[in-house]
Amino acid sequence: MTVRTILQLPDKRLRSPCEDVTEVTDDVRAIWQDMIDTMDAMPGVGLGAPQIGVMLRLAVVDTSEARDKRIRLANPEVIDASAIMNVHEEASPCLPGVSAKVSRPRGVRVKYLDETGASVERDFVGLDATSVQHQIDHLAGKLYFDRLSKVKRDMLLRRARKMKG
Amino acid sequence: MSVLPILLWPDPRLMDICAPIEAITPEIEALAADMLETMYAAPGRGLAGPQVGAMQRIFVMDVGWKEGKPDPLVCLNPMLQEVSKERATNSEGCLSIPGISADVSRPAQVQMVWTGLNGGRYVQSFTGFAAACVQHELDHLDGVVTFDHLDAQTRAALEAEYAA
Repeated sequence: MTVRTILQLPDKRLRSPCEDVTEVTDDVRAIWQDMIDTMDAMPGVGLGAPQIGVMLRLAVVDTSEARDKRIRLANPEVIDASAIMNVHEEASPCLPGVSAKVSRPRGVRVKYLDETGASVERDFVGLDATSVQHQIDHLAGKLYFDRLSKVKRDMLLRRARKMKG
Repeated sequence: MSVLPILLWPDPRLMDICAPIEAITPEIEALAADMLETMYAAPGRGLAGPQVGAMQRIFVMDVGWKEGKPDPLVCLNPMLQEVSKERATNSEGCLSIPGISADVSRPAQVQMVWTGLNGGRYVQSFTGFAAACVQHELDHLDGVVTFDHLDAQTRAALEAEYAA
């Protein structure tokens, strides 16, 4: 039960692909718990393990108001995506002070290992779908602004540098 | 088995996003059976969860039963994988907006993936009326009705006709 420090860009770990976990152990469950505590402290709707420097394909998502719908994912893969896109204003605590409208499939079906280690397939829509995809990007060393056009991406990064001073 | 009351627009439940179905429980099986019975009784060719107040991603459909044998389809967590660039306009009615038909332009062909009541995954392409029907039902799961596809003027005229 620890709120961990969130890495800031240009930390290279945020740009590196993570490794699959081989098994859902108590250690993995402890990392998930720290990730949930860290997500709640932000507060945010999801977190990928590399954001706290853990280079494993682990993510957590909770978009509920009551913060009682914890979704723990290990080795998540999108197996089906809607052709209909949804635009959401996304941001990251790894690059504070800026955000951008990102277009992603409005629904996805994701295969992952749950907290018991079972392989499950689950459908996500709305903000859940956006957050799950955003976290899966983190596990591949990608950030939301990589999905913008070059012009928009450069503008956002310039704005972020200015914020930092 | 029972025929359920159908919610009428502008019930707020028809404007809300439905939650994915997590597990195929006896309740979901019973809901699907009731929805089919309600659709055939209406009579209609498609019915989505929120139209009977079930805020879950489920719809039932049978586009041909009025002309031939019943061929019911139950779709859980449906998703459009592909939509054609080509569009088609169909006159669409809605059990939740009785008495009103609206000309709605949509992709003419779609490929949909869904989970069946048996837990299996299905992928199928739909064209013609069936393509419009699956998109109409899927819209309901995202809080969208035919009115939302119309330009402001057409919408206002049809809303006035509906209110009259």
